[in-house]
Amino acid sequence: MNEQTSMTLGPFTIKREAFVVVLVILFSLAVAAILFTAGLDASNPIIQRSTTVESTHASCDQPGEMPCWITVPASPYASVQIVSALLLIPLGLWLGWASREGTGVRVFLSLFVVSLQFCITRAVFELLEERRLDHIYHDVTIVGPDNVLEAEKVFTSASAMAFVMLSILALIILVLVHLTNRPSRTSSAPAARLDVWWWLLAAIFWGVTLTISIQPDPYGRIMRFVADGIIVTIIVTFVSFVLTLMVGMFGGLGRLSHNRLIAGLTSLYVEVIRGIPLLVQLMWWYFAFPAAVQNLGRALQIEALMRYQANPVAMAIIGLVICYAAYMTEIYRAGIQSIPTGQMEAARSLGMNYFQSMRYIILPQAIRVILPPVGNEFIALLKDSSLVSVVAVIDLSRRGREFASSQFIPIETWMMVAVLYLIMTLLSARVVSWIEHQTKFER
Amino acid sequence: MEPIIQIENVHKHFKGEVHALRGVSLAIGKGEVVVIVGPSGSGKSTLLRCINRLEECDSGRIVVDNIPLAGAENINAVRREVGMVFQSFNLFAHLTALENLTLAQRVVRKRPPKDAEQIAIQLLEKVGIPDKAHSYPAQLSGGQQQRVAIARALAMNPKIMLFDEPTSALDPEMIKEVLDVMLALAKEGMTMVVVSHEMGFSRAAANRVIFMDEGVIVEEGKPDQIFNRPTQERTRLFLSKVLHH
Repeated sequence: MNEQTSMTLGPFTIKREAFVVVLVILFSLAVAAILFTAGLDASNPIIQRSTTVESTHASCDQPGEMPCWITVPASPYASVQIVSALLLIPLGLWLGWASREGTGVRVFLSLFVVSLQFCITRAVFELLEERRLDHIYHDVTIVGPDNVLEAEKVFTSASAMAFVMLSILALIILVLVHLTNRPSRTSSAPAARLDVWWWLLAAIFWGVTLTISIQPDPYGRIMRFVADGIIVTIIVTFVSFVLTLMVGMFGGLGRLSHNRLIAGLTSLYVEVIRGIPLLVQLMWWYFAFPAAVQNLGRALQIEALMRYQANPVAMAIIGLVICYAAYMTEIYRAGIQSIPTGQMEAARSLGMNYFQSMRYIILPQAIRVILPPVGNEFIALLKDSSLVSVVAVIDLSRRGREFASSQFIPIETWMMVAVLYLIMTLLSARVVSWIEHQTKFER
Repeated sequence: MEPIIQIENVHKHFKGEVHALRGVSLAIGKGEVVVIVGPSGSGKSTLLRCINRLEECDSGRIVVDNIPLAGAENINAVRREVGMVFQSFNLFAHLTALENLTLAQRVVRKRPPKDAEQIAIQLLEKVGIPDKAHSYPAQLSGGQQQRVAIARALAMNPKIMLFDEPTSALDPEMIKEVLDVMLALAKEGMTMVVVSHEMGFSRAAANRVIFMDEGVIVEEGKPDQIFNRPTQERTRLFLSKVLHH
């Protein structure tokens, strides 16, 4: 009956909460099916297939020492893939297409369940395969570089990574389907369907995941190499952004202050900082500032200051915050000024003081006005955080540069880095628009 | 009658150029309903806004409920006793009608949320729109918004209510619903200062009508006397324009 809180999956009409649970159960069922079939005896005649790996190893040329080739027993992978495919692909297609949702959601549901099957089967089996191969090679004792084994391992962990990435995507999308379709708190009108631009993000994520699992070398290797850089980029961006929001708010209130000194100082700050390139500011904070502190220490004979060493990440965050807060100050100012003066008058006439009026009346409304430009700033900050790679912060760009220059594969590396940034910015843009949608209070 | 608002020789300049109030003196008694009329730019809204210090007067003295409006620390004390209703409603756009009524009660009066809500619901019933408690201002008609605004001011239990042209932004058919609420309020003995050209309301509720022009009080008296037998030429001229159009 309640259109917004329920969703159809196949012929079933389920609450959105239940929908998430059902997909989790399907997930588990898929894993269980695979694990069960994995237990099938590899010597089973139906699925027995023999693979021969000819060792390229030099020591094979010496007869008697060890076998020149290793017979690897048949992998149960193919058969289990078939079994789980037979089970899950029709189920996925059926559940998807039989739903009474929009076409986009039906296509998504079908593809989603099908690719879950693909990824789970593959990842679980490759992990098992790795252990199995380890076991076999362990018995054989290969001397020298074991290229075969390494190649297998790269392949395995890349697929496992793809599985993890797809699972994250699935989780994000599920949570979002769940959240965006929740009935709006503010009106009885049906909530909007999932924002269509999520599909672009999903498609790119999908593309990256498949690329990694199909071509683990070099894409899986790039991914593993830059993974810690991604984390640094995210941390630097988030910390800077939160601080920027706070500094910007005080800046905005300062610019609107009736106190001339405060208004003048904040205006001066904005004008000066806006006029200096961010890269130069970052250079200043990382190279010039510590030197200045050391000079000061020498002048004052303070030992601690003389030995001052800048922490690259801290300096990068300070540089980003000071620069971006200047822009944020202007955004806050514009947002606060956009609220009709009558709101402040009404609040004051009810006996609220200035800070109560700001806190309860003006800022909550201003924040809704400034959300789009603030979201813009966040995305700009995320991208500009790549500049911190020149001041010794090991972020995504820096890791990309290291990999590209050590492996001599600039095309693949920079393509991957670009796409990773794109995924992060697209995701941010979606989250921003989702927050905007949530905070609407009038239609 | 003991005066609750005392205004003595108040002057107000805007930006040093416009002389909005030129020595206004007025005493308003407890329970009195005073209607201020006058042409636009005559200073009637400014006078009203001076009473709860949304505008600060340049010279003169205003005492509200025995609290002089001089020190900054007194302002919020005065504003708690004085409710204000605006021409453009000024409901808090991000809050529902109910939240509009409860916010100041919680923040300023420090009432527990449950009590505040109970009071709010009673007041919404009083102004006739209990069913709109969970609507946002943008979802309400002008008349409904203005009634919520009146209820919001009443929720603070003010001793005085100021109305700044409460019906001039409304469609004709919505004026009555707002005036009815105001009339009921006047009957309950609330002290009210109303800037309005609603003659019907003035005749029915006002103890006194004040005619202002160019920053001074030109004439005051019973509604019947001002509207039917004005002594001043300026009053006559203004009323002839307002009454016969």
